[in-house]
Amino acid sequence: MNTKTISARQRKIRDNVTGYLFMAPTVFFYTVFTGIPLLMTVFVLSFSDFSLLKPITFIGLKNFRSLFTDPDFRTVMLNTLKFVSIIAPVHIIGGLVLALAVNGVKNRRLQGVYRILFYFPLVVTTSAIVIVWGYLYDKDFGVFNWMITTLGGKRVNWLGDSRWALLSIAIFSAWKFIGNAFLYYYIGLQNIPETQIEAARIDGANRWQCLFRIQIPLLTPTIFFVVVTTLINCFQIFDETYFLTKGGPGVSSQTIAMHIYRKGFQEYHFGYASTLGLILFIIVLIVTIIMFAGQNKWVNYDME
Amino acid sequence: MTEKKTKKKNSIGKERLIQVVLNTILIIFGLLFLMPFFWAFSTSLRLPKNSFDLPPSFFPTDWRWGNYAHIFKAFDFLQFFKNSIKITFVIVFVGIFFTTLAAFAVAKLNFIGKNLLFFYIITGLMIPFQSYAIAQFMIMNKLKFVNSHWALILPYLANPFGLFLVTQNMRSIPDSYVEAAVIDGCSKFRVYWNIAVPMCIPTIVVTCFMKFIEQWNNFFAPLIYINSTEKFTLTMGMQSLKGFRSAGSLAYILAGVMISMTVPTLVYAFGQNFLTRGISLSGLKG
Repeated sequence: MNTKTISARQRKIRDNVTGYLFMAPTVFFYTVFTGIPLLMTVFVLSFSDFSLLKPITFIGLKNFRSLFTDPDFRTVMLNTLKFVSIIAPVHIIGGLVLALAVNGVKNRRLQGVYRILFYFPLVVTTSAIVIVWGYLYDKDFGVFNWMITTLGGKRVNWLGDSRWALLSIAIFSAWKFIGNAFLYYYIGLQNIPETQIEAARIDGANRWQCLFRIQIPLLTPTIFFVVVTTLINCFQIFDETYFLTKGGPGVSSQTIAMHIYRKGFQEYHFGYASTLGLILFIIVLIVTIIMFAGQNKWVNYDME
Repeated sequence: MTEKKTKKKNSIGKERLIQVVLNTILIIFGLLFLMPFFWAFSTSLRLPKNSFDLPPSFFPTDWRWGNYAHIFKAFDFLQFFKNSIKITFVIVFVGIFFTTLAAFAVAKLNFIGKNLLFFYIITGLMIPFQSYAIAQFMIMNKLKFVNSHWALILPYLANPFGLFLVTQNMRSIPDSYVEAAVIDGCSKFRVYWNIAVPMCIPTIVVTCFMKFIEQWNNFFAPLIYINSTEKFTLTMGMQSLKGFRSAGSLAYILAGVMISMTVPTLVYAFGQNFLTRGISLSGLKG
């Protein structure tokens, strides 16, 4: 029939339309509220001066020059780097150790209890549980200082001392979010066929050889995923610092994400805050590209 | 013969020892993990004037449930709860519909530019919100959504991570299922709704669960968009609860903290069973 020849072409068009319709809602909301704002930031707003009341005026690279005259910018960048270098390893390595330990438990029921337990802090409302931690860290009445003084140590001003503030936030962050890395590792370990490990054991491999020759190599895709997402998340740390120290004392625990908030939504330097946003985006982009470029060296995708 | 036996016996004994040590360490670590909850719970039940007593209590000594009633009366919890529940559930349920639709298209339909669109959405995984927050604020301002719950809902209806997870899972559905259904006269939407979605339930539940946690905890967006108290989400409400320190006491505040944890804990109790299965099925595995 004649319709058949037309329908081949028509069907192709119809297939395309169906595909676009299925994707339309996601693409639409993503474009309007993420894609366009990002493009605006990268190409327009970072080079402009404006606020809610002031229209956008193009000022070239002036915002970038302000980075060097902003007395806090250096501290904020260093703080962010410090955070990442403390917290990321705790999540990436600590989560792995925890997952290996739980995975090594023979009793299935206990294993389930640990799994639920270590993920639990992730679930509870951050802004609520952080109030609890604020009191745990309290200099005079806090549980931590009570423990330290009972053991004969000296009180620590956890949140009020610039030497301790970063570390205190890092400890909270580790407690709250380690469950995420832990869960991915745990699932990865559970999916390694037991027969592979048994075979190696029969061939005389000891526990450590099994770990470093079989489990960890097979886990590298998961490790890669955890490393990338943890790094991306650590660079944008905001909630923990805002809740625990408000970036203080002074700017001693302020991170780039907090700096963007302060410059943009408290001091209304929208243009400069956009420039800071661009810097944050570029940093995360570079880190991601480096990670993906290096993955062939150590990530093992075909040993299933 | 006997030598072999004792060796085997030894290794069983060694294995048992390892298990005991491992479990002891994990239990101690687990208790340390739960310590903040124990302390908050038992202090929330204490006489308010005893809140700061040392040594701290990790197990309830009093059972003053009246503290809970008091904070409910003194503080507009119900409104914050309602706002948070409304926003979070709209995002989760509408969002998962959009996400699964897109995932089905990427996994099972053929059209020009498919991979490019997929890549475009997935890049969202590595874009920090703060980097474009100012620009998004300008757009919301233009749309008159500032100080409205729409500003907290609309941006999150697109879910890059969810799209990634569900797409991975839908790719594992054999093409022949889809083709057979189409030959039988099913529309693409019917295939999606009656075949693809039911086959990916664990991953879909996990995606919903993760979105729930992320949005229930969302603080930055309400912080920049919402400024009238009756529109506050729970995350913001908790911050004003802190101000109760002068008026009341810690016991009341902690009662509030415990109350705020009920909804996510219930959701976790329901969702935790799906967590491992759902993530495994999405191919995010070793």
